[in-house]
Amino acid sequence: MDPVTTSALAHPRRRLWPLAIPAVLYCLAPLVANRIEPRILGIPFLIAYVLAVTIVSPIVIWAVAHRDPLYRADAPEPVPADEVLTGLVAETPVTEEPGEPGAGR
Amino acid sequence: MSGSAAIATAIFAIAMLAALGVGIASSRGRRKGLTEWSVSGRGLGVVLVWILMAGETYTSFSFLGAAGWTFDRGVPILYLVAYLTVGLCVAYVVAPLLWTYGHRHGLVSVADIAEQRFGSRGLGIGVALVATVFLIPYIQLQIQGLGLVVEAMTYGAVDAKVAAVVAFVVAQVFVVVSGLRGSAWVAAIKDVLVVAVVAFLIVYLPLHYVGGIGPLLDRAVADHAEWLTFPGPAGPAFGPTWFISTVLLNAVTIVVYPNNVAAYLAASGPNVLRRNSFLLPWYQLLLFVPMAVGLTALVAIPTLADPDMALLRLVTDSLPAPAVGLVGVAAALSALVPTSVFMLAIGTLWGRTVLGGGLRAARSGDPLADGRQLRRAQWVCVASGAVALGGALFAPALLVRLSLLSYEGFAQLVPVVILGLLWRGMSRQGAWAGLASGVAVVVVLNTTGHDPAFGVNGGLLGLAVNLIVVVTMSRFAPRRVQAVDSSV
Repeated sequence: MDPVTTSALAHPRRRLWPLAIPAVLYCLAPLVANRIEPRILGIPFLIAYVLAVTIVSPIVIWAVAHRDPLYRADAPEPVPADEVLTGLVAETPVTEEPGEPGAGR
Repeated sequence: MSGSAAIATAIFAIAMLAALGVGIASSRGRRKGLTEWSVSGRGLGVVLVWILMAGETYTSFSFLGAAGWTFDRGVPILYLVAYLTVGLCVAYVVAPLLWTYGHRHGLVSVADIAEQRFGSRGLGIGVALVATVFLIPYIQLQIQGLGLVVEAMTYGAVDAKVAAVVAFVVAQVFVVVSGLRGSAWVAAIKDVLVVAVVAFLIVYLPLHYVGGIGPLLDRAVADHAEWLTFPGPAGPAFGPTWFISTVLLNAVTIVVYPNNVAAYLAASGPNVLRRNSFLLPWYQLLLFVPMAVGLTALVAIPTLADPDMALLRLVTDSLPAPAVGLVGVAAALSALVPTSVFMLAIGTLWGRTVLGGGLRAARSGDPLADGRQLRRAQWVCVASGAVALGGALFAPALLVRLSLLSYEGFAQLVPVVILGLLWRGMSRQGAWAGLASGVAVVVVLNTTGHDPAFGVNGGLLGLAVNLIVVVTMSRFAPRRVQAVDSSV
């Protein structure tokens, strides 16, 4: 496994925190932007705000992707439930855990 | 039949034939099997995944309901754009997660994921049943919406019930023959039409009725200011707490919807899905158009009786028949695509997990097992659609109430499908108990009229209880749980 993917596994997806920005901006809409004036290009402020967030959001996601080592490597997403199974991370033995994966066969 | 009606009916007929032709042709030369049928053999690239998921988010609700909501309740409709975009942030991580797990273990549905993760076909069946109960009303809603659209666009020449039956047959034929790939290709036709129609309507309708978008906004601000800030004219129930809780709940729920999971599992690689997360939000901008149309209706015909017909009413009143026909077809296909994927998802859940012996049968090495699961999936696909069609024809109000519960019910699948993959310590009993208690909370809150409770979306409360039960059962009762395990 290449070092990029290994380090991403060691810090599972910590650099993805900016993905929360759109959620925060949208949820702030009724709290900080709940007014008609000032109108932006004639659009009432609240609607203009949500429109702006909708345009900014994919740019944020794009920026996150381009800094994401897994995206750059086109690597699969780490599945914590599978890590023991695939031997990526050797931690506590599987038998300690109820409901282990790989059953059902 | 008048000349206009004949033209519009002909356009509808051509569109249905085109959908049928493209849908059936899309699977030519493909190997037949459950994996090909349900998740297109995991071979869809960026473009088809985008088209398929765009097709599923821009449903007839978005088309008609968004205009109706705006007319009725004003800006709270913005929750639609908000949760779809936030849902794509969630999907940036969750979609590749489900893809990786599904690809590694050969899974085709949310029930498969639960069965694989917890080693329990029973839990898979539980997930399949919950998903079915909350999906069928959704199918019915789409079929009913489609019937109304076609009746309106043909100036009453084609009865809503006839249209519902025609659409049901078309969707069944292309989805049974071609599976998810058929839906994706029909979605391609639909997306081209929707983009064209929406781009035209945003310019034409405000211009025709109010003199342009500028005057439209001026009149809305002057006469309907209440519609332009929270909580809107429908009262305090649609205030900030409702907005925030609904956006967050729907954003985490949309990633476990079986139709979205089908699209995730169908992707040809993880980056197809990560790219989709920053490509699909642009499509959400189109949702502002039906909102503008709803606002136009509010300014131009404030006495409109049925808000859900706002868009169609403006279109039929102001445009010639061929244009009305094209708008109607775009709206009809917007119902057809998600309907077909919903039926396919239910078929897959039952064909593999409930009736087909689950993963054990799929992995038994029996060369006939896959074909058997596929045939059962196709039968259930037809049957689930027939139940929804029956509801649409004979009991239109019955299931529609249940469809309001749909998102809240689906939210209860989030722990068993997603948390289980992220948290190794989650136990099978925890998953079961959480699912049961979450669904119970949602059903009780709704049947007793307490949703939203304290201004918070009832599904979010159900999910909170669900998570608490999952964590408690998994953390504090693992020993007893293991004893039960070994005795099974």
